[in-house]
Amino acid sequence: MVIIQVKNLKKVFKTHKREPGLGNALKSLVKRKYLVKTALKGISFEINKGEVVGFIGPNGAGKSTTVKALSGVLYPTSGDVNVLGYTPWKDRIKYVRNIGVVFGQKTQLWWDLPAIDSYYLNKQIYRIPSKEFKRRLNYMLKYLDLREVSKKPVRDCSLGERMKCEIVAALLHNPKLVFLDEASIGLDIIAKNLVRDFIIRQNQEQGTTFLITTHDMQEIERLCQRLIIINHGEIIYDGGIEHIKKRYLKKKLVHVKLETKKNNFSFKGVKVIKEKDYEIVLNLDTQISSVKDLVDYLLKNYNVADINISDPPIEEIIEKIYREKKRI
Amino acid sequence: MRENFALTEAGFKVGLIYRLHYFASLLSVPVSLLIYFYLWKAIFAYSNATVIKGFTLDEMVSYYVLVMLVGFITYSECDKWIEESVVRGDTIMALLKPYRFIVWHYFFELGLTGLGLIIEILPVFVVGFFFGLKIASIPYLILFVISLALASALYFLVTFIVGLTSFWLFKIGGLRRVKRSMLAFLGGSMLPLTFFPETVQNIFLVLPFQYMRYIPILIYLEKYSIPYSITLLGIAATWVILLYVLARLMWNAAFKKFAGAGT
Amino acid sequence: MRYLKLWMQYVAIQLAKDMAYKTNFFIKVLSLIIADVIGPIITILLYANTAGIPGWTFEEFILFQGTFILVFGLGHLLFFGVPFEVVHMVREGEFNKILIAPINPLMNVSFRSFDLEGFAEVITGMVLIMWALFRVDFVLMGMIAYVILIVAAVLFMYSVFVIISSISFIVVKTYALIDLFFKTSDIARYPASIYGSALRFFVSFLFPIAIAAYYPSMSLLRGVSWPWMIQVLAPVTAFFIFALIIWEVGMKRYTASGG
Repeated sequence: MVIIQVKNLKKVFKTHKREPGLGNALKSLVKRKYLVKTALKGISFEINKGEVVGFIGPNGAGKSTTVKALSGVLYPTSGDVNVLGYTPWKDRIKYVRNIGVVFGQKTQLWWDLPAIDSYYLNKQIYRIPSKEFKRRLNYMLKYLDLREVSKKPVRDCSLGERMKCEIVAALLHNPKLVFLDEASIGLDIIAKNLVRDFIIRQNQEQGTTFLITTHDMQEIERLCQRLIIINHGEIIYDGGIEHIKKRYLKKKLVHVKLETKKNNFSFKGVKVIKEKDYEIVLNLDTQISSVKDLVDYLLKNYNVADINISDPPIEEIIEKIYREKKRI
Repeated sequence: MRENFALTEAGFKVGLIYRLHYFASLLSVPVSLLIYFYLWKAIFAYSNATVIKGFTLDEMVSYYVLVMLVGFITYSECDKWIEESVVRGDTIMALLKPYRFIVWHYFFELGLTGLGLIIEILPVFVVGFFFGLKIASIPYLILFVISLALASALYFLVTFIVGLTSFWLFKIGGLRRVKRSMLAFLGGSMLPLTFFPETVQNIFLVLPFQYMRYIPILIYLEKYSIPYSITLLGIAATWVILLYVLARLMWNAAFKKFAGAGT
Repeated sequence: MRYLKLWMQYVAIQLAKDMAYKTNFFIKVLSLIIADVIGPIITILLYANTAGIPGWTFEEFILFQGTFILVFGLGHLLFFGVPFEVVHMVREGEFNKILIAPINPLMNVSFRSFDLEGFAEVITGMVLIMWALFRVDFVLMGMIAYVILIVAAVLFMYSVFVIISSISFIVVKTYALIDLFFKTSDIARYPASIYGSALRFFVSFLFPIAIAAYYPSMSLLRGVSWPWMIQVLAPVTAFFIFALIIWEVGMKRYTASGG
C-alpha cells in the first residue's frame, strides 16, 4: 500500500539579496534583487507502508526541504504530494496527528521543562489512552536509558540525550509514519545502536513506516532496505541498498594512529593515501582483502594507538554514480 | 477541549519556572499604590476639590487598584513567546502539533496567566481593601466579569498580532515596548480617560484600547448605567471579532511566509 | 586614555550589532521616545484639569520629568546591561577571560554593556530640560549644583547595578531584582515632598533614589547651600563605596569557587 506519493515536487527559494551600505539599502527599496536557489528540481517517488527508507545526500542536497514539505511546514513551488490521503501543507492540522517528526536541528520539547512533561502533554494532544501511554512510555524510557534524563529540564540535557528524548516524543503516539531528519547528531556509538535497534523493532512490531535522512552512509546500512540518494535537488538513485553496497561500498577508509613511527606500509588490496609520522590513512578494497585480515595484520606488526574504519564519504559514491550514468 | 487544557497545564508549569517574575511584580503592587495614593492626595488637597473629572479621592485610589487587578487578569505576553520561538527557530514545534497556531498560544498563555492569578490576585485584593477598595454590587460584578473576559480577549489578540510581526521583522523587542506603553496610556492605566479632551474621548469610544482597561474599571466603580454598560460591552465584542479576523488574516500571511522559506 | 580607547572599541562593536537588525533598532529607539513622551503628555493633562502637584508649576514639573528621563537614559546608555552581561558571561564561562585581561574587570564589563538606545532617552530628556530652562527662573550656582547632582544620580544608579551584578555571581536569577529596582524607582517620578515622612526618609537616605530627579531639580529651582549638598551627597557616596566592597566580595566568591 502506497502511503507517500510525491510527484514532480519542486521548490525554488527566493531570498532578497542584501548589499552592505545605506545607498544599496535605499536602492533595494526600489528595485529588489533576488537570489534564486532551486532546492528541488521536481522529484518523484513513492513509499509503501512498512518500509524503512534511507534518504541520503550531501549537505544542501534537498533532504530537509523534502522532509519539511512532507511534514506540512513547507509550501513547495509546484508538484503534488499525497501522504496518508492528505496534502500535508493544506491539511496541516488534521494531517500532523498521524505522523511523528524529529528535526535534528530543532527541538519539539518544551525547552524549560523536563522531557517527561512534554510526553504528558503529548498524551493529551494525541489522545493516547492512559494504559497504552504508560506501557509505551515505560518501555521506551527503559529501552533508550532515559528514565533519569527525562526528569531534568531539556535545556540541561546534552545534545545526545536530547535527541533520544525527541525520538521518544515523536513515537509515543505510535504514528503510522515517522520522519527522522538528521536525528542521530550528538549520539555516541552505543546510543546510535540502541536507537537503531529501537527503530527496527518499532518497524517490525507496529509496521511503522520510516523515512530517515542523513549524510552518513554507515548509519542506515543496517537499518534500511531501500535507499534514495539525492543530489542538487535531483534523485540520482532509488532502489535496494544491497546494490549500492555491492557496487560502491567495496572500499573502506582506514585511519590508523601509531604509538611508534614505522614507514613503508604495504598490504594486499590496500592503497596508501597518507603516511606521515604517527598517522597512516589507507584505502582498502574489501573484495581483495577483508577488514579483519587488515586489522589483524596491523595489530600484529604495528604499535597501534587507534583505528578508525569508515565508508568513503557520500560525495564519492555520488560521483561514481554520475560517472557510470555517463558511460551508459 | 482536553487537549487544549493540556497546553494550559504546560503553560502553568513553565510559569512556575519563572515564578520569581510574578513575585517581583507582586512586590510592586504596594509600591505603585503608595505612589498614586500620595500623588492624588496631594493634588486633591492642592486643587481644593472633592471631585476631579468625575472621581473622588477614594475612587481615584480604587481606580489604580483596579488598574493593577485588570492588568494581572488580562495579562499576556505571547508576543514574547512567538518572538523567542522565531529567533530560536522552534516555531516548527507548534506547527507539527494538531493545533491552530492561535489556539496553541491562547491556551498556553491561559496557564501562565492562571498561575499569575493564583499568586497575585489575593494579595492585590488585600492591599486594595487596605486602600479602600469597595466590592461592587452583584449586577455590576457580573458586568465586570464579562468586560474582563472581553478585555483579556482583546489584549491577547493585539499581543498575538504584534507577535506575528516577528515572522517578518524577526526581533520585535521595540515593537513590543511600543505596544505596552501605548496600551497602558490609551487604555487608561496611567490616567483616567476623562482627563482627555472631549473629542479625544469620543474617538476613544470607537477604538479598542479603552476596552482593555478603562471600561472594566469604570463598570466596577459603577460609573455607567447598566444599559450603557451593555452597549459598551457590545462595542468591545465587535472589536474582539474584528481583531480575531485580522489575527487570522495575519496568521495566514505569516504561515505563507514561514512555509515559503521553510525555516 | 587606554580605557577610553577600549570603550570606543566596545561602542563600535555595539554599533555594528545594532545595525545588523536595523528595523528593530529604529523601532526600539522610537519606542523609547514614545514611552518617554507619554510622561509629559500626562503632565499636560494633569495640569489642564487640576492645580497640579503642590509647589511645582507646570514648567518646573516638566524640568523635573526631563531630569528623570535624562538620568535614566544615561543609566540605560552606560550600564543597565551590566547584570545581564555578568550573568551571560558567568554562564558561558567567558568571565574568566575578563579576569585574565589586564584591565579592571568592573570597567571591562561596564564598557561591554554600552547600549546605544539610551541616546534616545538622553536626547528626549535634554529636549524637555531645555524647553523648561527657558521658562523657569534659576541662578548660575544652582546650574552648577544641578550638573553635579546629575552626575551623583548616575553614580548612585551605577552602584545599584554593581550590587545587583555582584549578587549575580552567587544567585543567577537577578532579573527579578532589576525589575524591583525599576518599580521602586517609580517613587522618584514625583517630587519627594508629596510623600509621607516614612517614604520620604526611605528615598532620601535608605535608598536615595530621590537623587534621580528631585534633588537636582530642587538645587536648580530653589538654590543650594553647603550643608544641604553634603546631606544629599553623603548617602550616595556611602552607597557607592558599599557597592565597590560588595563587588570585591562577589569577585572573591567567584574566583574561590573556580568559576
